[in-house]
Amino acid sequence: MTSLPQKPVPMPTPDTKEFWDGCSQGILRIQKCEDCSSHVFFPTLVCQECHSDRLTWVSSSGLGEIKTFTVVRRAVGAFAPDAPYTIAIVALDEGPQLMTYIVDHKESDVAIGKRVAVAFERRMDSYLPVFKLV
Amino acid sequence: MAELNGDSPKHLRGKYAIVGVGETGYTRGSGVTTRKLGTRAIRAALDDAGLSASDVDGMLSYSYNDSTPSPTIAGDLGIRLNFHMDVYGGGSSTEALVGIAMGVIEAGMCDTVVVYRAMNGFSQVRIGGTSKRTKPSPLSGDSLFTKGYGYMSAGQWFSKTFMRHMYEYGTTPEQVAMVKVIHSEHASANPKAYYKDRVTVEDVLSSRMIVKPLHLLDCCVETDNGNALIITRVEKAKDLRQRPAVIQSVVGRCCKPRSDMHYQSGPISTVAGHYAKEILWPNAGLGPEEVDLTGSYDAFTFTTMLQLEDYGFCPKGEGGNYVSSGEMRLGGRRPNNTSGGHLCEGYTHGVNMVIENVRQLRGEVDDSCPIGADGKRKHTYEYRANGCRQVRDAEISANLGWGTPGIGSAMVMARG
Repeated sequence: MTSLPQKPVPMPTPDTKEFWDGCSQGILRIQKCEDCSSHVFFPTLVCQECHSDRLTWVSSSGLGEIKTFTVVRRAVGAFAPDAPYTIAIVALDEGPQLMTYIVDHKESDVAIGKRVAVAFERRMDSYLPVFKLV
Repeated sequence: MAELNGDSPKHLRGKYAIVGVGETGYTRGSGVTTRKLGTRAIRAALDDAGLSASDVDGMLSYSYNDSTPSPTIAGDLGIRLNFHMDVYGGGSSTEALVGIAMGVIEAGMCDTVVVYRAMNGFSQVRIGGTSKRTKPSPLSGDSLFTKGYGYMSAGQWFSKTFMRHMYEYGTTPEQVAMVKVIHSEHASANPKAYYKDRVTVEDVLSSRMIVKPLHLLDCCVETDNGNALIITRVEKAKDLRQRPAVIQSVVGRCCKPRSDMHYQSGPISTVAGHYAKEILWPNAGLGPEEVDLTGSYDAFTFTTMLQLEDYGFCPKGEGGNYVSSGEMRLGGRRPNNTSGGHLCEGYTHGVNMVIENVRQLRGEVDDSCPIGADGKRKHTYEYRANGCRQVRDAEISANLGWGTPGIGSAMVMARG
């Protein structure tokens, strides 16, 4: 029996360390512009609305809605045994959108527009934000 | 965008042409290197144009580090280069590189440019992500939110755009399956096509689900092949063997507001063509209604539909109706991918759809119609299996290249 390839794990950089540290603590951190109050994701260096570099890390509510999703039935590599799995774009209530898993659901219950809340899934020594239907 | 209009001196409408095209077969298991595929395709293109190696002094290629670069292939062919560049990328590259070729000739850097793509897309590096080369890697940059969640292939990457389009506009899998049905009809008259059998909507919908909403037959074929184009000035084209396909307008790797995470800004169901059309049509001095045939990139059935819609061939949201109406079938108002495209002929990251339209504009598509005493094919315009696939009086074509929902390239050509 051959061993399966390992799933990719986060490799924090100075730009993303705050985000991943938050995930380990069960907090979904996003950035907020101190000048125009826009919320920004993913971790970045300047506000894309006003170009200010005064970005502060804040805690997201972790609540949002499914903007779109897909169900992977034929997966490859380390993800092959997980199929079928649901990947989605979730719009946080603060505005930014992120790609994520939808976990702990019946496939027929997932739909565009449904409300979701963040949870965290362990992978090796890291935690990835995932979402559950609420 | 104000300066990009039909009166702008920036465009090069009518000044450059594709004068030669070449291709290898579309196979699974070429048994040869990409070096050989590229060399064969370029030799065929030179012969097609009536040019010799010494007439070419520029070369452009693109790959995912899965090919042989131009210095090697130029060396093999005895071509001394005044300019070359090998760029990273896939589906949105073809038209973009044609534009670069025009630019470097215009700048006086060289005279005649070959654009090629050589790939063992089935037997070596598979775009579908199932080749052995797919290895896990540390997550950094935007891959944090792609590979980390098992987004490993193009189909997975694009499907969320397709799902959102279905949600917003009521587009159905039955409508979009017609893209495959029509391209399979076209391929049935293409002796080169990898898949020549005609399929039905039911065949598409009953094939196994790969990634929602894509069934197996919504996805393109992976093949091994080499393709080449030769670009030069229109004045030079007049002395060559073939009727030139004159480039009216080109757009290269035009993007949504954010191209890496394209879903972050702009509607998810809108693709880069929405922006590219603002360059394509004004610079061409015409609009979609004047186009006789299209080459809308069919990595998936949905990509053809989304691009035709966002380039303005139908109102936004009506792409499902457009592709299922029969309009883009041979004999219809504006046929699309008459070779069978990536869904049926073979997968070359876009070049074969340009080759097909060049031949259509010449009136010399390589179908099964008989060749007359003058060496020209006598087209019957009977669109059936093993029959004709020449579009009658094709004068204007549009190629719509797809990279991702966030990146697109396009080109309008006219019969010379």
